[in-house]
Amino acid sequence: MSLMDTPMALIDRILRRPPLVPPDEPMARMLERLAHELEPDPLYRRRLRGEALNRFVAAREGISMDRPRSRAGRMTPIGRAVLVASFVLATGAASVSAASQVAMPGDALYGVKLRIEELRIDVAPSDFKDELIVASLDARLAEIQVLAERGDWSAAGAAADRAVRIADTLAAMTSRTSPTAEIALNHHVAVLEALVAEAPANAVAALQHALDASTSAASVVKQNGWRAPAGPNPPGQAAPLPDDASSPQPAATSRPGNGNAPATDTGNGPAPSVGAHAVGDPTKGASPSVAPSATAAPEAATTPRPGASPRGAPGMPRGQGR
Amino acid sequence: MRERRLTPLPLPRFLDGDRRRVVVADHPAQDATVDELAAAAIGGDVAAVGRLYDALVGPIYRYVAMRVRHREDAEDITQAVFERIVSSLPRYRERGRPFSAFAFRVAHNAVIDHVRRDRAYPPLDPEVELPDAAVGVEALSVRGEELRELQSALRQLTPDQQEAIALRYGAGLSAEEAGATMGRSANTVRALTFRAIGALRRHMAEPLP
Repeated sequence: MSLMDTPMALIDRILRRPPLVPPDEPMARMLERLAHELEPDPLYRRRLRGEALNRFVAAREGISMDRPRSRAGRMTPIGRAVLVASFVLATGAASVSAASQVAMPGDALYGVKLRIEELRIDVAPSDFKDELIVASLDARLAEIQVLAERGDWSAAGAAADRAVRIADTLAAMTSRTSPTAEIALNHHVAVLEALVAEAPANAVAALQHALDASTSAASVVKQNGWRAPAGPNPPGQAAPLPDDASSPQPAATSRPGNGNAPATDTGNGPAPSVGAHAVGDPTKGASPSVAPSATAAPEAATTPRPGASPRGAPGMPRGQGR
Repeated sequence: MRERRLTPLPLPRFLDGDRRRVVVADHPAQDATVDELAAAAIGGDVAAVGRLYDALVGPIYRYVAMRVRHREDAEDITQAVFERIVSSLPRYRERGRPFSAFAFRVAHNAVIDHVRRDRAYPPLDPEVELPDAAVGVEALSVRGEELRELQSALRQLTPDQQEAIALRYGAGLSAEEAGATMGRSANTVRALTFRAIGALRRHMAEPLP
């Protein structure tokens, strides 16, 4: 082949020359020296050898040696199922609990409502049990009123039976009742009296039984517990306005929004009945130290505010009168 | 330091497709080539895998070390290369190419991946090199101003020239083996090497900035 052949053949002939880079080229020698310096660390080499052999055996046996990637962020199917089940259970329980609070006798969730009330009373500290029982009694009375308005007197009678049991329970723990118990029971008595007056014959017995139980419980609470500052207001009658500082404050038996609320809540007068009872009969549970005076603790701190819910008694600090 | 050899006793191995049948592997001879060791390793011989590792770890490490800047990077990449090689051994099928070509192809891909990742996070100020990056290959136990200049000059070669130099001088491959790895002809590799050395000579003749 001559040098006048095709250019590709010429290039190929040139490239086929073996010593393109002569071995004595200084740069080549420097590169060889550089490569000679680049040796892996012996410890690293030994460790990598072991890892390679282990990985080979694992691959041969079909075992994955890949590091678990972001194991913390992954969840097994069982864990995921438990998480979803827990979420559904918690959501469902909360929904049922919330929905049951407006259930009426005869509704599917009414039993849940009663059970939740019982559980709440069971798990509450002893100081709060009486208030929870009063709240439960309030709920039964409200149910009786609603059922009576619907004309479902048989259901109202059944609710009255449940109210009887609650009132009996409250009467049995009069030594530990709070001041709101008597107020609530007086209110119940007034409401039940009105219901008995208008109830048909088939419901009168149950309502009368509930009325008697509430009356009895109220009397027991009044004798053994803290004495309320005043009696209940008859339904439809507005509470008297305090015309001077010495006049007793009305009892908090009227519910807000029912037209019985007083025009004003002065909150600056003493609570004579509280002070009189606490000073005159300290053994009844009232601490003498909380006896109010004209300049001491404000009235709102010792006397239920007019218009306040009997069960709530927000102005009454716990522990007073006990 | 010489590596302690695994026991020379014949080890049982499992054959593909019939994992219940245990046969005795024939160990390759002491002077077995890389391809013979690879064939034994593919058959399940653990000792052959160890010898294959001994034969390849130095060249692959040197090849990687000439392509990256830091010693830690070279060690990490070499480890990843052997993980891939060893994991793929049971599935490896010879296609007429030497096993070393496959191994260095894996190393080449690992280096390319590393370079791409390295480029994705450039230094805040490219004009100011970090001290660790400035030493480069010197950190891989190389000492001397001359070799440091060589490292700097290697960075200025084209990727193909760097690849050819790393395969020829780092891994110690022949032009044919390097060509099989790069997917080029041996003559192309020779030409790349020739031009790379010329470029290195020119770069090293220039005063350092």
